[in-house]
Amino acid sequence: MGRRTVVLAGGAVALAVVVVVSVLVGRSGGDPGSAASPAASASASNQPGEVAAALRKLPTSPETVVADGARKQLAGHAAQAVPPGSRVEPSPRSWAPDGVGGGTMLVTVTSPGHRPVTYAAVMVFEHGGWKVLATFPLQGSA
Amino acid sequence: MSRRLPRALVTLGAAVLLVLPAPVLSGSQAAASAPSDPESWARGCSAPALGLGEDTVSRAPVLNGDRSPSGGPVVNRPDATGKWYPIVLVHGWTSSDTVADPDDDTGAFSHRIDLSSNRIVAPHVTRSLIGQLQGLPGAAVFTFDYHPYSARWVDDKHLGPALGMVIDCLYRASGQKVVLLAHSMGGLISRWAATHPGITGADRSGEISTVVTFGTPETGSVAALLAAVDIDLSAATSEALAFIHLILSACGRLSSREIETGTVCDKLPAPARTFESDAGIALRAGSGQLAALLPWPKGIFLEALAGDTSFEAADGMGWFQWPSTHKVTGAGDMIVTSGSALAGAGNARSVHCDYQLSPARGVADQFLLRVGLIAKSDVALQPLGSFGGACFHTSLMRDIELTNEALGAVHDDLSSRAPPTPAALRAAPVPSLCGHRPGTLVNGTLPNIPASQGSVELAGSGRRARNMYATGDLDGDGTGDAAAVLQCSRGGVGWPDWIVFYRPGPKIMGAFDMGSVVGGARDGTTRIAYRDGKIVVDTLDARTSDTGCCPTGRAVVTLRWNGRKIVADSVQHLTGPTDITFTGIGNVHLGMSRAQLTDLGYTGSEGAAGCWEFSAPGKPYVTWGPQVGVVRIYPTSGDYQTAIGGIKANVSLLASVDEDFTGYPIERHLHGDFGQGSDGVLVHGPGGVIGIGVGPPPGASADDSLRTVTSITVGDATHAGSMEVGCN
Repeated sequence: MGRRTVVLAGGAVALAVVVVVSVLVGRSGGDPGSAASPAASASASNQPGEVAAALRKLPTSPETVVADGARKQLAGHAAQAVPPGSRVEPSPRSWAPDGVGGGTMLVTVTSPGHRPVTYAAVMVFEHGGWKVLATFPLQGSA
Repeated sequence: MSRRLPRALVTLGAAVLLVLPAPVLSGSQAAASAPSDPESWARGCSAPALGLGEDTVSRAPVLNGDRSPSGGPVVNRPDATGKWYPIVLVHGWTSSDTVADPDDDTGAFSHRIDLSSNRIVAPHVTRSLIGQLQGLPGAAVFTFDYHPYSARWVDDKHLGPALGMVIDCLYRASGQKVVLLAHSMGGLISRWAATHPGITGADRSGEISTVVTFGTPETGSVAALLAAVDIDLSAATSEALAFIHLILSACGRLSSREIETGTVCDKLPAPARTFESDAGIALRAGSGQLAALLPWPKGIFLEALAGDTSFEAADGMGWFQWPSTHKVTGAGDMIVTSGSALAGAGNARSVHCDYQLSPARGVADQFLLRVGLIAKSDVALQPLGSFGGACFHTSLMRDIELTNEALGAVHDDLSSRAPPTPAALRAAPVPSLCGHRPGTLVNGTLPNIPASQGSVELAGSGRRARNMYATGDLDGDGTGDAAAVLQCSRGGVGWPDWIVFYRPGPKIMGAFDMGSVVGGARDGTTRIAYRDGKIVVDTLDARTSDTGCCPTGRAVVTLRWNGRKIVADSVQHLTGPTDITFTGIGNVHLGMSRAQLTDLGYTGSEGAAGCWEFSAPGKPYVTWGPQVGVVRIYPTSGDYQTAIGGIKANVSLLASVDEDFTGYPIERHLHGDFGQGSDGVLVHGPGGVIGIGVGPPPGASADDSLRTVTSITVGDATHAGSMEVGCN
């Protein structure tokens, strides 16, 4: 079971409070395919493996896993986003479908000369394959 | 499995209570004998009564958990005029709003209002939105619950058409336009009902006054859109979509049962199952079903409310090492963008929430994604047990700012139907009366008129004032109007009264000069009352013989608004105890039996020729016969007068008789042939004859018209004059 914490910090002027709410920890062993959309043509049970396979293409052909929604922002710089020679380690066990045709998977990328960084990769199923829409570096890993 | 978060509430400093136009909850509980009772509407408009299958239509009870600002229970009562107004709540997709019992706070609108997006305000409302509404005088709150059919599109017979039938029924039962408050897809169901024919026309703008929507996807739902294969990115930015995907994915591992248990996921519809339903597909931005929905009718006021969430990624977001942005906007309430929720509204309001989002590994399981959210405002956004925050889709009816807006819209609607109060009329505008300029009353009097030039003022004071004021719908528009009596003069004696109709505001609808129907009866109005869309005026009635000061008759005048002006629908001139008509005097009539006379206090004795003479204190003399009843009635003093023309003995001339009874047959006996050698005339009318004795011409004049009336009697054809006729 996941763990949640709530932190309230009240400032002296009664205005500075930050509420930290940690939420949502899925449990391992859940049914990752239970919320899959028919939009994803891949078999729900194969999704973790398919997503991981797509992510492993990043060092060699990153352009093939760029989602439509990210192309404008990326402007052809996919190779700079994941430099050649980077080591990519997706975590199929972390696959979390979003129920609307996509999901997130944790992936650790180690670029040459850099420390490993773990991302939450937002994946969408487009044009017959899994693509990366955006990534969020995990707190403390960057 | 419990997934509830720790619950805490922090209120810092001097929190400002933003507790609304909080209604004043005083007075007694609703009168059970109200002429139009919401409980009877609830019975007549129930789902079984309307054949709506498993839909539920019910009147929301006052919730035990709802407290008034004073700490007591919420009092749900009619308005000052005893009226109730139907308000229907329509829940959203996958929700429900039936309030099973007074302890049930699980409905979409029955949760305590406990969230705020305001940085310096801590919510301190002691009731739900239902309770807030029930605090409005006259608010009869109903719920329309279609949850067994949630997966269907709004044109399903159990959704839009069913709500339409409920609206028709409540409108018919109450005579009042219906107010709708709807969440999410409930707004689209309301829109379907509003745009289709009801009982008043081609759409239901004649039956619905105001619609308030919370997060209704007027142009579609982004979250539903995400389920589509081809995403229309114009509906939201890719960054916003990425944030939504991220959060949904965290929810995706939770079973539907777990999703009910108090995380952000319970603010989102259960994912795939619902998004792939008929409704879910139709809800996608740009869907054909949405495009087929007609725009809201212009005659309905639409207040749209929305949540608008912004996210900032603590460590940025991007595409691996290629950064894009830290902050994105446009996520709306996570299900519906604010642009979609506010589309087409006459009035729109959104609340804004900023969150910092921090993805991290799970603590217990390194393979898991853990999403932390930090509220960016300076104080807690909400009681912490409810993670969702004020801006999330299913939390919108718990947000104080949005519920304030909703309550204000309903309050404005209901109060616009209330008639002007007596207090408001004391500062009301007045038209030109008695030649004075139009103006606005100050404390009931038109100011700036020199005393020598007269006055314009509301009639009556103290208890009498209550008889000079009446309320009701005078122009048929469904709102309350008022009528008031105004008196005016030009410096001398008062002029006849004016009756002025007012719409809410108060605004002048029209004015009526009572002098046009009751002559010079000054200050003559004794009471006005509302009846069936009209004003009934009890008034003194000036007879032709009355002096200006002193009207002696009475009349009942019925006034109505004909769409352009006030007209006298009827004028009934009444007879008083000293009024002489063709059939009697006062309440003594020809043909009455001895028993009837006895009931009136008469006693009698037998006279000549079979006639009995009866008398009673203060009443006219009566001649009665055993076979024919009362055959003659004659006054005992000079106070009596004819109802027509006001002819009085020893006052009027024969000329007046001729003039006032023009059109009636007048039989003249002016040569000693009126009986016992006297002179007089017989005026024949319906039901009897008025015998009028006259004296000789004055002086040497031969002009009979100058003869003075000396006596007046009422009788049948053979007893009206002074002739001695028996009663056998």
